[in-house]
Amino acid sequence: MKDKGIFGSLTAVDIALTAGLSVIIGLMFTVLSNFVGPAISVLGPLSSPLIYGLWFLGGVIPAYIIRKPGIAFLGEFIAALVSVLTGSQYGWIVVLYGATQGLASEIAFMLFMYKRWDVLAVGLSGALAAIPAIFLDTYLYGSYLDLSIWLRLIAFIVTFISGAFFAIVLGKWVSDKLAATGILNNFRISVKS
Amino acid sequence: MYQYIERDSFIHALNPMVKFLGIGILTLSTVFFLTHRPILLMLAVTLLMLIIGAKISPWQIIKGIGPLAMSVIGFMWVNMLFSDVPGRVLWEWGILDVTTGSVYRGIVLGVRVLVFIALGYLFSATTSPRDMVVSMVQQARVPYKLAFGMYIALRFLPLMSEEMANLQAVQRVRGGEVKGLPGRIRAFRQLLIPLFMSVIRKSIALGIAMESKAFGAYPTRTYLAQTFVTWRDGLFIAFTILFVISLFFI
Repeated sequence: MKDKGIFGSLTAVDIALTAGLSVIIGLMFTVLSNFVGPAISVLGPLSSPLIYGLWFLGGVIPAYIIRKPGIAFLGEFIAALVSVLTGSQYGWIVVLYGATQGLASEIAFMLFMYKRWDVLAVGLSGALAAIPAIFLDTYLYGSYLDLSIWLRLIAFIVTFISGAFFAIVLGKWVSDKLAATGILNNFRISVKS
Repeated sequence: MYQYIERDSFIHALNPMVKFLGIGILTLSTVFFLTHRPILLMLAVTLLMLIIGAKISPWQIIKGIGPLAMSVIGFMWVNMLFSDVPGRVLWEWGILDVTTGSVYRGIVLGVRVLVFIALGYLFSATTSPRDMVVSMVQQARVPYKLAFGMYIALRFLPLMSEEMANLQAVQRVRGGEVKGLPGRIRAFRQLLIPLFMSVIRKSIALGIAMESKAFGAYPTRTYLAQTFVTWRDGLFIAFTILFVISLFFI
């Protein structure tokens, strides 16, 4: 008997693995936020887009490994929650970022009907997460509010590229490295189609 | 690691999801304000809720949000430098300038971020993570698969720090040197893959155990702990909404 809905196809192993991966990634978020964050505030609003893509990995890595609907959202959301609970300097608002970024990543994989898992799909999932991130930064923190429209556009494009870059270079790379060890043999990442 | 402080207070007794909703409304409503009066009033009310409503001492509040408030200072100064608000020019260097307008904007935005942080602390200091997840399923009707994902993450957290300490000890025993920043970065890289491996192994074992107990067999589940919505929650939400509306009129 299977229940319907987005999470219908997920097994307990999928959920446990997503949670486990998100704990590590969420801890990474906290370290990043609390050590790199202050550096960003000193260097100015145009420095954060460069590494922004690191914050989108919570959705990309589990989704790329498990390759089922709902994982990108679940992964990014839990990673954000872990990051709040381990003391991210940005506090609970991070959960809103996590949920919306996860949803955006999810949409990327959905566009490919969960059939394509190559560089293009992974890159797009990282890039799309930039949209809610920039939107929330602008309206919640007023980060880009006073910049001219051109600088704002540059910040947006750089975040977009950074999202795709880290999703491919770090997200896909780490996942492929892990798959090569054979530990993920029971997941779709290791099934050659 | 968690900021939860156990107390017997009005705010602690609220339903976690209702509390989340109320604090969410307060947090999001800060977006509308770019002047000092509503923002300062909001900060005052948040602190009052923390001290009187949740019985958390000022000293504990400082300990809880003090380190995070450091980011507020950085934030203020960035906004002063990079914002383009008109006003009397105080200092100029190339494209960077500080005007009276941008000082005001910087301070207001900084205090606004402080309000976010204080509101977030109000939630995490008064809500046990377990009740939060239970209430998520029982009141917010979140699919329990999602909620269990969070639950697992919560339970994995302490395990993970243990595992990390283990791995670091193993590296040290084998002669892995950690010196300076390059050493730290290398150590982190060497830690990442083993850490992922151990988490994956644990997760798969846990998942199989859950499956063998028929996780996901039924659309609903029963829970050891229960959370309820009471009159306090109605009062809290009513207060929140009235307060936010009144902010527009001051």
